[in-house]
Amino acid sequence: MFFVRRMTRFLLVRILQGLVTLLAVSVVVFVLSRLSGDPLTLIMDPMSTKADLARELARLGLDRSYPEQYAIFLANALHGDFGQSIFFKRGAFEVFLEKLPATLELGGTAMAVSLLVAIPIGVLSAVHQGGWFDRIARLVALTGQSAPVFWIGLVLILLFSVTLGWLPTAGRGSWRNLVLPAITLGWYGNAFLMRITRSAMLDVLGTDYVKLARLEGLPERRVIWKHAFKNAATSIVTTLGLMSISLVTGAVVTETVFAWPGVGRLTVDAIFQRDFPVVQAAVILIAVMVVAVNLAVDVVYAWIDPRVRFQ
Amino acid sequence: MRRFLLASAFAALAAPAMAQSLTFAINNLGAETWWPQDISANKYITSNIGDPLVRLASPYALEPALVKEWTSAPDGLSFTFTLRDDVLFHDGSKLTAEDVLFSYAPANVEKFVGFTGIKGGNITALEAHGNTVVMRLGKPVPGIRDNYFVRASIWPKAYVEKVGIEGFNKHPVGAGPFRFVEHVKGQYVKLAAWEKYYGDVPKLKEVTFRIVPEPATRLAMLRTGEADITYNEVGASTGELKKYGFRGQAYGQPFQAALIFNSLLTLDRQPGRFDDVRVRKALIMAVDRKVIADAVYFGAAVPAALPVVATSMPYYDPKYKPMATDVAGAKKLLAEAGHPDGLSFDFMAGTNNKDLAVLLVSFWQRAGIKANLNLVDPVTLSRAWWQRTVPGDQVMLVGGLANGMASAVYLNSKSGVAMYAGAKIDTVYNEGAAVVDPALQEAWLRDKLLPVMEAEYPYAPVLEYQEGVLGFGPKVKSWTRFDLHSFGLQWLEPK
Repeated sequence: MFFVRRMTRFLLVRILQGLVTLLAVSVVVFVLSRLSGDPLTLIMDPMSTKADLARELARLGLDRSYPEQYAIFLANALHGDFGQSIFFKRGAFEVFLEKLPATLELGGTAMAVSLLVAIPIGVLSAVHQGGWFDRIARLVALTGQSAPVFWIGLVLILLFSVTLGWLPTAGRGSWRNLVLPAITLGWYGNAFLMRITRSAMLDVLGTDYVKLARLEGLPERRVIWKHAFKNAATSIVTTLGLMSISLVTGAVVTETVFAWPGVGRLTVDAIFQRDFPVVQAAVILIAVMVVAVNLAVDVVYAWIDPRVRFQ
Repeated sequence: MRRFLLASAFAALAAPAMAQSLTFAINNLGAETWWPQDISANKYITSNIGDPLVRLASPYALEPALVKEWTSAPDGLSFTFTLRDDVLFHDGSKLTAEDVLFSYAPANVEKFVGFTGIKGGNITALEAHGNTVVMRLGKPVPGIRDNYFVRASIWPKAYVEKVGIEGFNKHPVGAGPFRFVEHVKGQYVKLAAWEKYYGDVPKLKEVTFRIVPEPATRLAMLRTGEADITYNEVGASTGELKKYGFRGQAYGQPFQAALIFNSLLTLDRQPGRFDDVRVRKALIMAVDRKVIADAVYFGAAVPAALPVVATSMPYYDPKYKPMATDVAGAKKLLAEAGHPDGLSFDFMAGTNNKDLAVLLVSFWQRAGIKANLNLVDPVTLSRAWWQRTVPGDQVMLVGGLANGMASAVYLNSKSGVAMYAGAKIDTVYNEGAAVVDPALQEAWLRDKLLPVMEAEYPYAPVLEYQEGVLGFGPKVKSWTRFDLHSFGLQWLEPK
């Protein structure tokens, strides 16, 4: 009962914090969209008359005070109405949702690759600290964190598509299309996760309870994965949370290089086309996703480490 | 007989098979809607699905498409089109005069060509007499052939009314050489040859347009064979094509990078330093444009000679040469215009033209011209130009069409686009507006428009280039003909 009460309170506080964050994001998005120029001049034909402009101004409510405009914007956003995309001539929310599955597919695959590759390598690297495996892993991690994503993407295309002819260059379709963009997108995160896992494992492997477990004669695999890894998991989970966010926000470059039709490319195109309803929808909806992921990470964190929920 | 059959079979096996389908990697397909009256609809798709009444056979001459014949009244106030009777839309229905009336309805015309300055209100009557359609205008419309007849495809009225605009956007139907097969948003569009096309059936069976925004990826696709044709922006990617030995072909309409002069203190133009044509000419004379063309456009651009008409147009008179670089001459012109110590002004350019703008500024410095470069996004620049909202003496670097008749609209001083279009240019422009006969239009362009451009220099042409460069892979034999307003896949020949 005490646990449930603590956990509920913990969740409520986190949800409240998330809502405040979203409200702040909505204010920033609203202010920035007004600072970047009169939205009407973006929508209207350059040859429009002053009368045309005034009529449209009134129709869109842009002749009202900024607080009133913000209230309308917020109320509409809560109903999923971010206005009509200037470019697509359809609802901005609808356009965003249409592109979201592609980004989730790419991000999900990149995340799966990370879980399957980066974590085991990080663990093994810590276990064999200073050995050849550790050295190679650290070198790969360093390269991964230093190389720009677009460069990695183009190098992978040149190697696996142009030179070897193993994989398709661009587009979305079969699993083969997913390989190069997923590796590219997950590249930086993998390197980061590998280093965090290694570092967290090194901290734990030197503790007394791990030494005790070994002295008790437990199999090494059990010592590493059950005793050490579980205790190192808190920082890994936090990193995974951050990574999952960057897989959405960082998809901008990868989706452009690999012609992947997701929200990253949509957002970049919308910025260049000054399609501010789509930009607003994308920023706010990505913020919602970030807040949701953070909340999920906090919950997992609290579940793994009881100290968190008692703070 | 058996020997003959065997020989034939071997011959068939030995002969290289003609490519049945090609893939075109393109930078984007706009909003990926196909309703032709929407300005953002993509011409690569719509111009192959729909056919107009007449089309451009060369950059100037027209040839019949959906019509057997067409005539225009000498005063340019009426046009008569006699339709072919063998045209079938892709849904199997037959083309009728009703479809033409529907496609040319004033409400549609207004939206369709509003940006060119031709308004639907000019069409006073559209009449159908059996298989003949008569269009009457209230006043002559300059460039109506180039801007409207060749662009406005004819669509099946019954189908559009049945499925609505949304339905049409999902599956457009026209009478063009290719029919719409499949579209996956953000990824590709597939077209197939229309077997019952009234003209020559295309040599290709299928064409897939794949949307690939990154130029380096498009080039990689050409190298792997995943793409047979790539769209390449004029510039670095053109150089890359050459590097890997692919054939390239200039594509699209001629464009001009030009300087627009702006002397505004309020919304009405105030007298400014650029009023003197010698100042406007000095800004070009001071610049080595060949160096810029090579450095920025990898040789895919040339110095421009006169505003509005590119030197590549067939009716261009070669006696008008691009101004030679002459720094001393530029200084002399400035001194004669009352600026012996040079000149300084604000210079606004789009971020897309950053390299070009920076080089212009550095060349100007040699002639004592100081430009304070202000890089803005292209949309802001376009609006500052069209809406005349930026006060003070300004020079703007813009890009615009330079195909003569169609771009002459930029000269109309009432449009507010050409700041230095005055009475002389207006007179010539209005004369041209009334000319409808193709030969006379050509004569007007050559004998009237070009001289006034040289004398008045309403804006200063810097470089001219075409919209892009197409890279061809080994499966493409040739693309023999480009229509300036469309993207005729029927003239694409595979190997």
